[in-house]
Amino acid sequence: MFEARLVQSVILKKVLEAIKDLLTEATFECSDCGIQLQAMDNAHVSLVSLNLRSDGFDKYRCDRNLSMGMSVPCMSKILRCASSEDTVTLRAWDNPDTIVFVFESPNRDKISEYEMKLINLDQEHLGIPETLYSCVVKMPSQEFARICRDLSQFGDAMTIACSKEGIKFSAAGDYGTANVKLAQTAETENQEEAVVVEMKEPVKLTFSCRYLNSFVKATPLCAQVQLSMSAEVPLVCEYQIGEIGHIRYYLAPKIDDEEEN
Amino acid sequence: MCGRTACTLDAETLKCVCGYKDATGRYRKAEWQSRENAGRDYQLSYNIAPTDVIACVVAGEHFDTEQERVLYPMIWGMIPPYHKGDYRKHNLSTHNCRVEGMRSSKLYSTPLNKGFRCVVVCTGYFEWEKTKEPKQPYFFHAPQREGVNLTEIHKDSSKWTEKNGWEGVQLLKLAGIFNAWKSDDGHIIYSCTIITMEANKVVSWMHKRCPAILQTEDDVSAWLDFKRVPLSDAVQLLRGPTEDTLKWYPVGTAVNNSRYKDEDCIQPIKLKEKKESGAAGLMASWLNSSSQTASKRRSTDDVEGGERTGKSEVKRAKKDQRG
Repeated sequence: MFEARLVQSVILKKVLEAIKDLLTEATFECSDCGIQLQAMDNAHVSLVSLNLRSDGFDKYRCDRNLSMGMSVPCMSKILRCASSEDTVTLRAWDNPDTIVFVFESPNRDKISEYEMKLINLDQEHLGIPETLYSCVVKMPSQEFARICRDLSQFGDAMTIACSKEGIKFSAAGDYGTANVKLAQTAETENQEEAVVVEMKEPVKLTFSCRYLNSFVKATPLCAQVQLSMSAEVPLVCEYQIGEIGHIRYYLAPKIDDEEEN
Repeated sequence: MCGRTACTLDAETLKCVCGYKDATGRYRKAEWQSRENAGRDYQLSYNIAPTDVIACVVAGEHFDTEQERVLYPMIWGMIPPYHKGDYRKHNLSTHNCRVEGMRSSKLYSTPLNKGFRCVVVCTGYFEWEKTKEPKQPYFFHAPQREGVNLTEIHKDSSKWTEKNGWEGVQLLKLAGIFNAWKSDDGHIIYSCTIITMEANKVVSWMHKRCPAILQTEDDVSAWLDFKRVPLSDAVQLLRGPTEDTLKWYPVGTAVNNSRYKDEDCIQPIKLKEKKESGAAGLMASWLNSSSQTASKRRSTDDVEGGERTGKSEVKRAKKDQRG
């Protein structure tokens, strides 16, 4: 049997908000180590990798490995029925057809159960190659979300250029251009506000704003976001999920049509 | 416009497909006629361009036969009757004829008034989407019964019976005009043109013009029946295609070269989604590049791939033996 309990259901609610723009269905792999999800969006341009470690849960039991295909919109609907203070428990039998979500109010006077049908999905095990990145930037996640939102008004694509001075975001479109530069912050005590660039080589890559704007839906999960970039490999956009795990988004850079052929 | 077609049936099969129901309600095959025609006979082809030979159906009355319908291979591109010399060198673009002006056209009104109406039969025609760079060819064809493979060669007349007629691949039937031209040494050559009209909303995304497709058997009969259906009525048969009467898919650019005749001319291809395709490809190759799980998968694919090559080698060997 599989059972996982989180005192703060709000974490799971935020995780669902963070993936539901990109994924319509996904396989949740449950094992001793925790819950993992890896899936690509329909266009196969971006990849979501979610990892929730078993030790991050308040109670976790997984007798045998399970792959559960779930409808993301459906799961999101169910989690919206939970109050933020509720405790959530996920429960499934071995070889399950359904998964049960149990929400308990803090003083346990209200218990709601939602049972969701699982779906059969083709399992695609995606191997994510170990990659050494030329630039790793840590910056406030809200700042990143705001830049993505602002720049997407100017163009479909956004260029991220990283050098030792800092990081520059730019977009160009029919109306004009937009440029936002962030300098590295001097050593500050407030780590949440810090902009830190670790650079081996300068990098300049262009990405679709639409996807970035889906990624920043994870902003409520973490005050900082980490962007890892190298030429000609996908960007990694990583948010820590409290003490329990992380969500990583991978996005292939845009390439010129000429190079495509 | 309609400047390229494909016809993947041999003459015997074409006779079946172009058959008709006689007065007793039985199906009859069309009669194949081809006289000298400057030595240009019909050949099935994946890529037929103007000046090549295309198969035309005409009323039997034109060729002194009791059969109602005759198949006659004709040069695509009408040779002007006044032309002298080499029939290939009239330097006029006459493979299409605009429906709007054909009745006042010097070249086309004469044969039209004589009732020289024909139906050009083909597996389909090609048209190029010019908004893309390079321009993207599409193959337009008739809707097919389930199980019919459009891309293969059809040399099988067993799908024809007197009772039910033809039950195999469906062809496009394009309205055309033909004419006979007499060379200096007295040889008669038949040539034809395909009538085009303004594209309706089904096909206008592709091109402003489209060929006049005869969409029902009744339309075909009436178009051919020059004795009983006057031109003014026949012209009313020329209507734009509907989504039920015309289908299409993109093909590779190999067909662009009119001398390239291989089968991949009409092989469907998958178009890349324009914007994200490069990105998706990069993502895929990156994910496949290292990692154990990925390489495991790749090797199973390789095994399958290996088997496949194995089979095709066998095939090739057999072919060689036959050759």
